[in-house]
Amino acid sequence: MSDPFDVAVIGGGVNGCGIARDCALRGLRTLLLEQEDFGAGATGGSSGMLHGGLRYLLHDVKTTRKSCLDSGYIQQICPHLIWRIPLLMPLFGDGPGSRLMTDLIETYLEAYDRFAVPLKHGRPHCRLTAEEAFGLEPGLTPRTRRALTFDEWGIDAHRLCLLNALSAREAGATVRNHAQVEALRRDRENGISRLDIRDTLAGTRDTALARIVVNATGPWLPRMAGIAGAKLRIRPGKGVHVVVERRVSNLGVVATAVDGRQIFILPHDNYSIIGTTDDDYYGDPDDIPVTGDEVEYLLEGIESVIPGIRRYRLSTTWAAIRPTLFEWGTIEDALSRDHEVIDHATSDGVDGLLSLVGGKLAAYRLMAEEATDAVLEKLRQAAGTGIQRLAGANVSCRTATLPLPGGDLATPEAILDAGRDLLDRATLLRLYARYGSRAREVLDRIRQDPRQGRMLCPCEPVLEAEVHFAVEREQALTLGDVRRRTRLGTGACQGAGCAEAAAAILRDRLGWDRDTERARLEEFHQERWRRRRPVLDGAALAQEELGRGARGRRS
Amino acid sequence: MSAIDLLVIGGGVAGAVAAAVARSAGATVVLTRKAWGATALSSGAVDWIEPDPDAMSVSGDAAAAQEISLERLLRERPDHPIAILCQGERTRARGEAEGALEILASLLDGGPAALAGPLGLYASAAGDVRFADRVQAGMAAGELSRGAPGRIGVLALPELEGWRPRAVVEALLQARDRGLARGVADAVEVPGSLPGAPPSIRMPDAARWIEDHGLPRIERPAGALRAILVPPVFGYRRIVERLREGQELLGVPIAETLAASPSVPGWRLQTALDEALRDRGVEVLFAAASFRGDGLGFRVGHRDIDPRAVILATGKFLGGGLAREGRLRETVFGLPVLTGGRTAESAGVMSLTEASWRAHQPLFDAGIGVDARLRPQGARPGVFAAGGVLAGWSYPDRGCGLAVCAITGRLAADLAIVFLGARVESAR
Repeated sequence: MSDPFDVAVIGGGVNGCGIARDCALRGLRTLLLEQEDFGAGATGGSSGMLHGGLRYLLHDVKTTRKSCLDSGYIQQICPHLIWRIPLLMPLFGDGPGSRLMTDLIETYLEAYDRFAVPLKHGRPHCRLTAEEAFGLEPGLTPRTRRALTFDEWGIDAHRLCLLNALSAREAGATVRNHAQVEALRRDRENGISRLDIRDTLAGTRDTALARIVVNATGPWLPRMAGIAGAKLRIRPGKGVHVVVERRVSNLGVVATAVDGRQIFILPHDNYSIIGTTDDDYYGDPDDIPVTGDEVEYLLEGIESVIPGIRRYRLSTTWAAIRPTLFEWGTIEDALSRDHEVIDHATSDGVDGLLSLVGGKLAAYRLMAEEATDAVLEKLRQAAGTGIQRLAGANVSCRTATLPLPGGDLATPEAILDAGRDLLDRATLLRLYARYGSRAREVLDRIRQDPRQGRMLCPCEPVLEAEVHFAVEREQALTLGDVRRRTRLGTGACQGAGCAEAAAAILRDRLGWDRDTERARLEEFHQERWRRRRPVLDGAALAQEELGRGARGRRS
Repeated sequence: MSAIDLLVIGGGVAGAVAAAVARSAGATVVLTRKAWGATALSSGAVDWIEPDPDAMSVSGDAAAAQEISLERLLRERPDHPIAILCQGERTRARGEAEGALEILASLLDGGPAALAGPLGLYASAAGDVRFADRVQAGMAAGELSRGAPGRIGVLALPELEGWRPRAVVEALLQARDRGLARGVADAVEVPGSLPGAPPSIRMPDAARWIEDHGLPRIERPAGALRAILVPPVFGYRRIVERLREGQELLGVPIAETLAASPSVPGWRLQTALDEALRDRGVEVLFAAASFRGDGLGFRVGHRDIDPRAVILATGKFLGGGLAREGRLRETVFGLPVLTGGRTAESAGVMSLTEASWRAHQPLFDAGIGVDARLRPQGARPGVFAAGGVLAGWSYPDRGCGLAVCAITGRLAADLAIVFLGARVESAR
């Protein structure tokens, strides 16, 4: 067997990818194993916001500070992936009670400004009259009497995971998607763990050895801990989002749902998303259902601030599980969003295994840094493993300042210039938003082969060159992978025209035979149907009817 | 008040056949529609029941395999319109189908959407092969199950969006290997291009291009070819002429495949039906029909129309005969909507659909219930229904089924004429 890896990270969500990046940059021999695709689990189902901190102001100011600080770093290392979301909180009522409530919330936001503005580079909050609020968003309910604004930042969570994984790979890590860990055994004498890995696409199996294993599997944390012979309990919290097929507003709007929870509608890429719920989940993390009740709960809540919301077509849904820290006796919303690195050697006598529980997207980098520190500490402690090479290695964490791949371009001007003769401005801006400085590589492909400049999916838009790029440089192996990297098929068309064309490109590049191409297309359509089904209504029904008639029969 | 005998609401195959049949029996007929529906988006095929695939691969006898499917339908799907109308009698069902197909063919005769039969196997732009009882004339030479096996060419047009010749070639070879396409010995791509067209062109624009400029460039390969299959974009009105040009030029029959989406053949079919109706003296309107609630009074555009009978041929979701915004409803009269024999109006979408995408979806089978005389439940006398708006069958899951529309449209017209005759009798 070859030399064991220093660390094997299981789980390709934002935490796992972040840890792999940090470990690889600090000179560790790193293996990252993701059972499906980077960001396909909890991270991909998140609200896509670098938020957090606001809620903890009252009882945990340190967490607020840490979240805002880390969000600031994340903005620095991948400026192209983020966009500013000004949020508007409409407020109602004319009596002294309502005005007092507004004053209280405003004071709270003022306190939050002290962290958010310098650390996250947002604008300070604002108090608006009703007229000013309607001027910004005419669709607000006429009950609005005044409003408050505050800033958050949206982020493409899938690409954030991917870029961390690519950064790890470029720093020498072995990074595998569609690789599932089936068994994990520890040789206590030698201090080596043996992982049995199954390639879920090819069906083949192999093994890997590692000194330390990090369990960063999110919703699957208890299952993976069990595979390793350890115990771990979390409070899995199901969160559902509904996607509206177009931008309802360029502002985010905050609403209070029927049960008093705060929900929101946010601009996200070319559409709007409504979220979210928070419910204890006991089911299968591989198959999370979205119920009609959840959809209705979200729509009803947003309807109270944007009365016209039901006129919009809903295109699809997201559902994911938050791997929240376990606590008995606390309601979901009140659970701590703090994170913890659990050393199973201490908690249940299982050596060489760390689990990363809890946390939030906005502080992933910090969590990854803490986990990497823990890994390094355990490696140093391990007797007789000869980690002398670590002594000379660069062991300080660079993930806060080193740009992610493509993240070294803070504004799109250079890309607009480089592509001016090739593509229209809107498409160039999308290329920048996905690839940052590496958009130049996509443009180069089009110069070499003009046919790759063809539009594959007009909704998003997605060019043929991007699909080629996804396979060649970004480790895309299925249509779902392409969807996560490029948004293919996520727009109003839901993949009606583009899926088959993208499959043909993947088939040529990946050497699929006809049966594999059909199988991958089936998977894509099945996944699309699964997420769309809970919101099928109105014009989407006619669209679906047409699609079913026009697509090939399974023969 | 206009003295109209029959108002047909919905202008697809069901409505058009109904209007033509009623007109030929002497009634004054107005047909109105509010939108393009399934007919305008159809593939170019007209069929009513798919021949049983297992029987096909064993015997190769498509007609016999169709009988087997028909028997199964009558037995297992009593709410299918054919089962209701024919009351379980197979020979009656076949007779109705042949008769309706003849009527539809006579409406389209001599035009760009003229029909050709009999039941045969054809390739589709969707990348598969399927059976059709009739296809548009320009597709007939592409029949795959009869005649001596030969090499089939599939034209490649790299500029054409949504056209995947490799998928069609593979479908042909797979169908050959399964014993379905006995006319296929081999299949190859035939290089071609649209000189002067933009590097990426959509199918409707390509059809416009070919209509105006003539044939694309086709590099005829060496060796004998049984036929060359081309994408369903070889023109609008001049389709037959273009295909004949191609045959003369290349010495090989040229045939369009069935269409997927977008569909030029669907547009041809819809416009040919409209013209045929106008030629026969049916007044064709493009307006929504709004039921006034009194008797059989409608507001159609800016007119008030009070017909003596109505045929509802409004289709399912595509044409807008059914809609769901939280509740499933039939959009003209608000008639009860069923699926699986039960009312489905307030059912949640999760209970109307299956988790597996490929599974049969009750939601797309939804429609109004009718008796054996095509009278909808809950409707007043003089109202008949035909086509996709009927419950118990689904064109999305089949990709076609226009013959069912023709069958029910023709019967609805016959029944409406009888009703009108009786009204005249009682008025005297």
